[in-house]
Amino acid sequence: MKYKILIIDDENQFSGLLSFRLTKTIDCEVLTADNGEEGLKAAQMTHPHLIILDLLMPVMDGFVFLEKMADDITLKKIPVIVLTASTSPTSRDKLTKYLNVAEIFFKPVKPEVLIKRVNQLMASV
Amino acid sequence: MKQFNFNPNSYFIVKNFLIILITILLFIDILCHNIFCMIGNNLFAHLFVCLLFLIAIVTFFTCEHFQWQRLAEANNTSKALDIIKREEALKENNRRAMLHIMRDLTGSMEEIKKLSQVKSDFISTVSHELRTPLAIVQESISQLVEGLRGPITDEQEQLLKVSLCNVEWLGSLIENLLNISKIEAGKLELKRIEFNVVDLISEIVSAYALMVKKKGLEIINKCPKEAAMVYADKDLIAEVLRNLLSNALNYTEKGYVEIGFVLKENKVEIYVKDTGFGISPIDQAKLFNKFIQIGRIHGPGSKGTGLGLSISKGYLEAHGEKIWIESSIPGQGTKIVFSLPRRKTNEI
Repeated sequence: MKYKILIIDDENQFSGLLSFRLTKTIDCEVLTADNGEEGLKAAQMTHPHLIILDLLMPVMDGFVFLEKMADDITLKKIPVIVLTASTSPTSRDKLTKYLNVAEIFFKPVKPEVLIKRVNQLMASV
Repeated sequence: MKQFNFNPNSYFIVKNFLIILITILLFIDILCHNIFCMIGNNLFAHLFVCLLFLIAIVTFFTCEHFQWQRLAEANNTSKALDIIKREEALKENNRRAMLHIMRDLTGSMEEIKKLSQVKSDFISTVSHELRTPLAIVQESISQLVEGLRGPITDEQEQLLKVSLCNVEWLGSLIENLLNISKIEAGKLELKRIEFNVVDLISEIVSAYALMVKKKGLEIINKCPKEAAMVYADKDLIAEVLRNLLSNALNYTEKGYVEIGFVLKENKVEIYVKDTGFGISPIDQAKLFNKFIQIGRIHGPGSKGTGLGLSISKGYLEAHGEKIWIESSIPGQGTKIVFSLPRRKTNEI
């Protein structure tokens, strides 16, 4: 079975690079979305094994996305890695209520650290 | 003494210090003369004279405090006042006088607070905006170094690794600037828990094992096996320990780095000792200031950002604790100590 990973980030250059790394180092298929709304549609259609999510995005931000995910019975158990440039303690506190958020990383994260965590989560799927 | 007005911004001049002293002395003398007549020339009378003299002197030197209190009471509010006491030569007769200037800083304090808020908001926005491009640069270079984008020559790899090192340094600089702005804005939220210092120290020491081996140094963990419980923010204290250890390792070329603690009545005093370069007394005075790197040339490098000790101090002060240099002899090493509130086993 090929793993499916969804990256939701408004920074296309970053999601492009990350997607390249993931496909090269893990046997997986990577989908990308520019914001929460597109991400939600993509998630509902493809049911990925893991979502890598940015927080501050236009149209629909990461928090609203997580809220919508929690309301959807088919999505609410998909593990999420939050990968954001926003380090405020309030956003960190807000994230604790979403049980499917498996990890919070701040940009720039070391690639080996991110890949290690993705591998761990994939192994538990 | 002449006081001009009693506005929030007020000043008064004590004209000719000596004259006032002499007046007080004369006053005491006259008073004492009468007393001497009454009670006779004995030891108590002399003591009484001394006491009066002392009261007069204290009153004289603390007169601005009375003014300060009266000013605060008159406005019926708590005031932030700045009192400057300066010895000046008066123009008219070139005599010396004591000039006291009082300034009401209450309004300015609010302004300072607002400015500090603007500054910390600015830093947090800027660091957010910097993190995103930095992540892109880091990821791009990493992919090239790892050969994910095709083979590269050794020379290219070397150059890219240097770039990567500097990207990491920039990342930690941003992180540290954010921490400093949080400390300065008083926005540091402590998540205090009870934890065992012995476990934390051995965890951090083992993380440095590789670096220590590479440098050919030794790290001695002097902690006993028995638990020593403290009540503090574990993540912040871990960062303080990491800062102290990496400083000790960076500034030590041969010998060892020792870490341990001393149990006091209500405190645990943790120390990090090295056999490194040591710090001169002049540098010791500014050691906990921002952007201080002793013996370091300007520009990025692998050594650090010069913010570690300043941040550590901020973290410990937020806990109501202290950090200090216990001893430092140039050429012989440094010992830095910090305290943490102790939680004894029977209090748990």
